[in-house]
Amino acid sequence: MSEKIIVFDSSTLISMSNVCILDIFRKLKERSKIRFVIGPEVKKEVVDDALKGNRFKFSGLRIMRLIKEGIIEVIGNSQINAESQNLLNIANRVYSKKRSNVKVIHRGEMESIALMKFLKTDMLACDETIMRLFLEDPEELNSLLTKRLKSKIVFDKKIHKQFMNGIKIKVIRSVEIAAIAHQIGLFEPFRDIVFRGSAQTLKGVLWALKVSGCGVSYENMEAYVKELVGK
Amino acid sequence: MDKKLIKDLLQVTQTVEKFVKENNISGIKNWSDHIIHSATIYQDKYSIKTAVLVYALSNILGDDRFKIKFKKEFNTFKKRVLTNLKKAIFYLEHKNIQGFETEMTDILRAIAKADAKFSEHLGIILRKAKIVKGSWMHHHGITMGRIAKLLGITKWELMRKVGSMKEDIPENIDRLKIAREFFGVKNV
Repeated sequence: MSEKIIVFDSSTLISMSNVCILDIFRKLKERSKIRFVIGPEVKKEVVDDALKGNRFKFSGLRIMRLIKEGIIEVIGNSQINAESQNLLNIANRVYSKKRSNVKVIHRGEMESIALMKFLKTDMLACDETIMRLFLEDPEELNSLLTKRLKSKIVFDKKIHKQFMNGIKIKVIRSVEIAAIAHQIGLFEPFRDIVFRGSAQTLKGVLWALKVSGCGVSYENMEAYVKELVGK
Repeated sequence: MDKKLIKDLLQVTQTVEKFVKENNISGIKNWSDHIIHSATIYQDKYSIKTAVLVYALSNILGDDRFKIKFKKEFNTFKKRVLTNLKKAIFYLEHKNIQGFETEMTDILRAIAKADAKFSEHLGIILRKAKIVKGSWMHHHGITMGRIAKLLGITKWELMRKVGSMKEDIPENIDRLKIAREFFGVKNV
């Protein structure tokens, strides 16, 4: 089986660590040749920032452990750095108001895209709605900005096209990863502990990911539960 | 410096000064939302600092238990805030944005210099204000990474808050299909 690579944004790791389902990475890696990759900026956000205080320290340590074990790789170099900055410069010119750029994106988020280009993969795990909209439906993001900011925000399609540069990015979230984990039986130990344990577990995990920050709607979660466990 | 931005800041500061005098807590809170639009569009430190401070002030001044427990410190703090706000208004009326920032920063210093327990309480409120305002900026279309950097908070803190908000963006992509293809898992 050929190697597959998926780049993670910090949002997905944060959700999964908060819900204590990071073990999924270990199990998925045992199952197939998949590389889970993050950039140094993401590592800083999910580990270094968490270790600075006490509240999220253990959540950060859980991720650090996966890095130490080689389950999650941290990859960075000058080429990725340069491309991150280049992408950031373009991305923050996509939206504007009266000739002032409305900057929606951070360098760390661009590092994930630069890393994808460097590793020649099209798979990104990102729980953050705004980032996903920027990549997949920038016009919808423009509508959201205009409506919520109560200001006419201008979207430059040409600059966005320059940013995307012909690449197609496939984005999944922690809820999809959890759904896959459920499908391959990783939540099996919970099946018999309560009535309809399978459905309850899946619903519980999806909701826990949602309240931990994964951008997912109630309807989407209900649809997954219905598809995977009947109702 | 955008003229509209200065006008917005002046309007907010004048209104908040009036509400602080009147102890109109809900009024103060509403006006922190008013400045968040400017904060999100311009992402300038003045709007952001003002939005966070004003929200924090609404929580500090609205905390009746704390007012009773730290009566002396609270009254000193309120007097100082009103002095700072008055000077801030003066600077904005004269389009002196640096002077305005100095006064707003001074309110933060008042928090740091207060009695240790009072200061700790105010510090917590200030951090909470950043997270609340940050979640609103995210709701208005800015990524969490950018907000975390602007406000000096972590994505961890922000995600917890954002998770409690309703997600109403329609989902048009079959992400489960993408995930299944990637992980080599068949349809149910």
